[in-house]
Amino acid sequence: MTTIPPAHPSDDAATSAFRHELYPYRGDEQYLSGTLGYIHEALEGGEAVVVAVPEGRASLLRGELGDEPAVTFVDTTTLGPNPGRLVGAWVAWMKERGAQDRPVRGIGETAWREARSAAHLSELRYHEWLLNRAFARSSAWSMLCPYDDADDDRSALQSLSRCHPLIRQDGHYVRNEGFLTAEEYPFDALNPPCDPFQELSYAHGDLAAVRSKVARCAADAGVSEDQQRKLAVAVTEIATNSIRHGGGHGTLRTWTQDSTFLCEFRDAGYIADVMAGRSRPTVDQIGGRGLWLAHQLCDLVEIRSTRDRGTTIRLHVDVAH
Amino acid sequence: MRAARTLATFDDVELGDHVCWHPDSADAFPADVLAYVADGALYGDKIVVVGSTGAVSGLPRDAVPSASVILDSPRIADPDSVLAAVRREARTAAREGYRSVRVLTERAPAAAPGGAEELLAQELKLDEFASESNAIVVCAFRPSQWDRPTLEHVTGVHPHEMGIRAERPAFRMYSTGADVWSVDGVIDSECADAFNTAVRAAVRFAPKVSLRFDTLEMIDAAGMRALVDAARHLPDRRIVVEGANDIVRLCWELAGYVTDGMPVVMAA
Repeated sequence: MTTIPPAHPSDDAATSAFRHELYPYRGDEQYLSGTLGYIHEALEGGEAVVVAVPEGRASLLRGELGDEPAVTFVDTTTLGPNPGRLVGAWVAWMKERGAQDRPVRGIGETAWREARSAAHLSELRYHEWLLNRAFARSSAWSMLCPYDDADDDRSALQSLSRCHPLIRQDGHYVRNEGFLTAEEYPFDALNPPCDPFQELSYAHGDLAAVRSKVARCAADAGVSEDQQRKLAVAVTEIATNSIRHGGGHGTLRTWTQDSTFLCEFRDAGYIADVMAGRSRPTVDQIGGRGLWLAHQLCDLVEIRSTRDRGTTIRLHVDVAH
Repeated sequence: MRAARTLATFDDVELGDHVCWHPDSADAFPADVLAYVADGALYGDKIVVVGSTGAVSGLPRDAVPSASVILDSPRIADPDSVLAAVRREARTAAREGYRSVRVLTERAPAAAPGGAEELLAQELKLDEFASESNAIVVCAFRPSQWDRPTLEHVTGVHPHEMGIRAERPAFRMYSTGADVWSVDGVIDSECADAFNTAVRAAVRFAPKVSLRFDTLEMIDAAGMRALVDAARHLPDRRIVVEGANDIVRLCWELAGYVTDGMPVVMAA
């Protein structure tokens, strides 16, 4: 790793654009040391700070910062569990605090131990990687991601660190040589559907049949009526994308795994833009709302898309028991 | 309050209905039409046939009650004149003591050269007439004479239809007051074009219209876009959407349409 002076962007490519730092820590003292140091650097530079961390960590920071007006705490629990909503939320928070081109720093901490499934964990990590793309040209924005390393899980830390170009250590950030610089993210492979699963092929004219199939299976799985109505919109959007952009047809599968109802859509299309569906659409935007709505209406969305294998999208809905 | 529904036979027709009839066989025409006309006499409704009797669904002239009105003059060939004549007959029928009027018309592509939007505008006017006057209006569309997209478009602006409910479009839009249109069912990408055409036709008549979404189950991104585009099609138009369920309102907000200057407003 290469040591870089703190807080002052250099000509280095890693620091002249969006600065995205992972901060592994152990214990409250180390947590406060790293995060408060980061915040004070921001305040000295006249920057605003947005803090999105679990409530326990937020309380610690509030106790130290008092009513510092340049620091805003936001509640990520209102976003729901889907990490696919986080980029849009961060864009909104940063824009709100960064009025008149004021630089903004974010502190974003995920409650990793509360990840509900391997798929959820995988999408949380992917979100961290996507942040680099989302804010690639935003030199006025930077983000620190504290990570509780108390479990000493080397594998978990390594997986996460690959999504961060910088790592903060002892008040400095250093370039992370293990950062994934490839254009394509190395996704975890999707597990096969659980037996028994239901399957339906669809094409133009079959949207009602898709909704009907999903509604029956979701009701059987115990999905709430409210969530079924949201799911009806999401499946309509994904099936529409297959029909319009994915070769005109696709295959739907539904099944239940643990406490999750899943709908999988496969088609021959390719989604070239990894940011598709991650940013809030503008009023005059012609298309691009389908994946956005799916992310906002489902508890988790997994997207795997390659030129040679086509696209697979899985919509997850939590089943309340 | 009017509601969309499917009629198994003309026995099920009620006052205020505006029925889209897609006869499934030419042979069925005369018998069904005769039953419709005969029921009119039974219930005290005046029969109004738009077009010549022979041309309208094979209706024999001698099967039409003597007090019936046949609107078959070249002078009333244009749709506005036809509607004005029908309204006049409805007023006359009321004065004469009839319960209502039963209008029978067969639409033909040659009589609708203005394209789908013009055709839908005429049908919405007929629907408003049926809603306001409690008249019964049956519009026959022979599937063999129309292309499928146009048939889907016109079906969407009839609250009632005879036979098995067509799968598409998945919505029905119909009058429930002056410049108020209720939308029932689902608006998705497969019927967004039809919905766009229907709303464009509706905003022709008034700069401000209300859409009641009380019985609309869902609208997808294509449907929302179709609504916005229809409102922007003509200048200074304003559409107020009322009665939408919480998911429709959520999707509208998520789609980015809650913004200043938007001609479509989703009321609480």
